[in-house]
Amino acid sequence: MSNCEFFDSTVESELRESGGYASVTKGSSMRPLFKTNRDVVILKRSDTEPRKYDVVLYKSGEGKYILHRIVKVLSDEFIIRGDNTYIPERVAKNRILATLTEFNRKGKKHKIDEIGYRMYSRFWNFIYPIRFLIFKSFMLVHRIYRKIFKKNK
Amino acid sequence: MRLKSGFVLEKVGGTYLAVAVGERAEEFKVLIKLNSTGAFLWKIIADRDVTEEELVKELVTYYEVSEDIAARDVKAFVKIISDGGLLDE
Repeated sequence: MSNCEFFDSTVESELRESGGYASVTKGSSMRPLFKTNRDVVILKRSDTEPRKYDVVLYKSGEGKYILHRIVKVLSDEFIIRGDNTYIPERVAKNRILATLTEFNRKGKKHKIDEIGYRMYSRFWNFIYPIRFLIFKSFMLVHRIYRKIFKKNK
Repeated sequence: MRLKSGFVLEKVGGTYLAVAVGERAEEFKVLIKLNSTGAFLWKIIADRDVTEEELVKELVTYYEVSEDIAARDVKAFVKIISDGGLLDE
């Protein structure tokens, strides 16, 4: 599930005009960090190139706005992934619209240079292989369960 | 009058943006943009129940403007948020 729907069409004009944008979060792709309607993200159009672990906004090929995290920096593109997704997205560097600079989570303000947040983003990425395995095992169990259930029906 | 609960006000660059959260997010999907005076008034009515006169007084004290100008600004502000359905009934 993507969290694109929360950015309406004003996002690009607003970023051009004032260089920043704020929005409530939607979708589950950035859980456990962001939860639907609970948190607020503040994005800024950055002059410098985003770095690994930065959460960035880009427009997908289908015209949807996606806010996910950079997990790898290549020469002319980024590998981007939601904190709760398992499919990497390849995005050309010039398609990045804005970078997450601050957020309001559970009513508390945070900046991305805070130690706690930095530790979370690195740790969450570090344990990705384990998360991936758990996710795949869960999907497998789910598939087996459905097969048995269907057969018995 | 008092502002409905469920809004978060954020300073983004030189402007202020108000965003609805929680259940309110389903009701207000728009981004509310405010200048510094608007944000000043917003913070007051988000915090407590006030009258238009009290808002005028706050503006006069804080910004050191004449009462006429303050009254005009408050009237315009109240009309916008009232028309937008942002006030608690």
